[in-house]
Amino acid sequence: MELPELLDRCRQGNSLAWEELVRRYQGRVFGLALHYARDVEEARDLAQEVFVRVFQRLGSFRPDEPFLPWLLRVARNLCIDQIRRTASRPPGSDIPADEALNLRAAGQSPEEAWEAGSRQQLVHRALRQVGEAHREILLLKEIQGLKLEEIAALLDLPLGTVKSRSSRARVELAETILRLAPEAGVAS
Amino acid sequence: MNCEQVAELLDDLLDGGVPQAVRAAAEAHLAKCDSCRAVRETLEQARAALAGAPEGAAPDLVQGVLARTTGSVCGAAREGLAADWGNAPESPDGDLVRLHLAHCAPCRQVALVLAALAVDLPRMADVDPGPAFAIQVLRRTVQAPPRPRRFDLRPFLEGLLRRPRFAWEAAYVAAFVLFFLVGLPGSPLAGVPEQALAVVRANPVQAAAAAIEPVVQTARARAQAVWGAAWDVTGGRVLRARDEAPDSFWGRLGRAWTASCSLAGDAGTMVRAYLARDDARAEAAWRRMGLDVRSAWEAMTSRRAIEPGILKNDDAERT
Repeated sequence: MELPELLDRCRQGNSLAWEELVRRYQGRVFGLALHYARDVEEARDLAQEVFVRVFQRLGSFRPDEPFLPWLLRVARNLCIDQIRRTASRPPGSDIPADEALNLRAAGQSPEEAWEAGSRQQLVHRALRQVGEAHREILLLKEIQGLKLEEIAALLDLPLGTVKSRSSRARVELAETILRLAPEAGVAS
Repeated sequence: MNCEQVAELLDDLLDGGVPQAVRAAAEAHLAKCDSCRAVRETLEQARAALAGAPEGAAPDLVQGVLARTTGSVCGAAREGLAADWGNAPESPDGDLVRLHLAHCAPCRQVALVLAALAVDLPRMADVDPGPAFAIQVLRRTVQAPPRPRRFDLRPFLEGLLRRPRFAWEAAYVAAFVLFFLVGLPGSPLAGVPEQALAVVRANPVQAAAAAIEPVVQTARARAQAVWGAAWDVTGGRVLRARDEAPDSFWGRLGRAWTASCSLAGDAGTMVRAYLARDDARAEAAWRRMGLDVRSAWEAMTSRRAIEPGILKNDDAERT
């Protein structure tokens, strides 16, 4: 079912449509929450809260608006609220790649899955060391795939700022990865 | 073949270790996908730069000149790399960046990591939160359809009785009832406690019954007068409501009220008979109290109308 029709049915109170919407976007919301939360359980709770809030605000969602940026905006705002509430936030723990980052890539052999998981874990660790502003850009653009214009609207920043910050963020992430694991820069 | 599958195959494609059919499918995708083509080109350039790095050059000379003129150019080269990442090369300095990579090992490493990130980062968007997640969300959001509400007295009363503080509330109510019956100057039983106390202090128990009898009679007459007046005002309506709708709330309340009045009268009779050591009368009053309690309970909890004969017979026996 196409997304506009699914959303329409959700707004009409169709619980089956709502279930489909949750199942369709749970991975995206959980994936975003993982980068804000301190651990996997907190991320799961955060993602659950996001969907509860989305459920409450579906009525105010405009049909002509793209859904994913709206969803990610709700998720990001709630995650930031949560971080502010837990003011003394300890540095995030490394999330076990084989357990928490249960990647959806199908058809991988166990070795490939393990290797991919290790790389993801390295990227995750590096992301936690990147500056906050760059990290948000990376989360929203490179991971979640939002457009620059959508990120500019979401973060309330000029488009040019987002664009330049996006390039610098990539470089900072790559340099951080090289600092954490110098062997990552060696061609296989 | 989609972007993710092609991204996973890029290294193997460049190494030449892919079956012909898979390579053909990947090339078909690359031919029409600018983004994947850009990633492949970045990877190719980084590899080429790594393989063709001049050995024995004099990097110190270049670095020295740069240090005295423009400063390090690695930052500009890396931003150029990052700007073209995942898109068709659009930077005007693209060729210069590639030339820089040929001489700068750290920037080649950054280029390799950037190429790997182009594959890894989009795959981190979708993370499975576990099979129970959606069910938990649905449990918190989807409500059961609202049922039509209908007031039912039985669960209401059962709920009242089951509350832990019910005993305290009953004690409060009993205290208020006692206060209004006995404590106020104009109460129907205002003089009873003092008179009873005086009788009990002055006489043994046998004398107390005889002494208290006129007081109790007077109080009972007053109470009956008060209750009778109230009954005259409200009882007719209650009875009419009961006759018209025997299963309604007001019907049950009317029957319960009647049974409660009987219970109060029988309790008084039993106390008097007990004090007068009239065991037979006290026992008869005790039995009637049991019937009264049962009648009140049935009136409150069941839809069955009470047989009018029971109350009539009780009244006849009492009188």
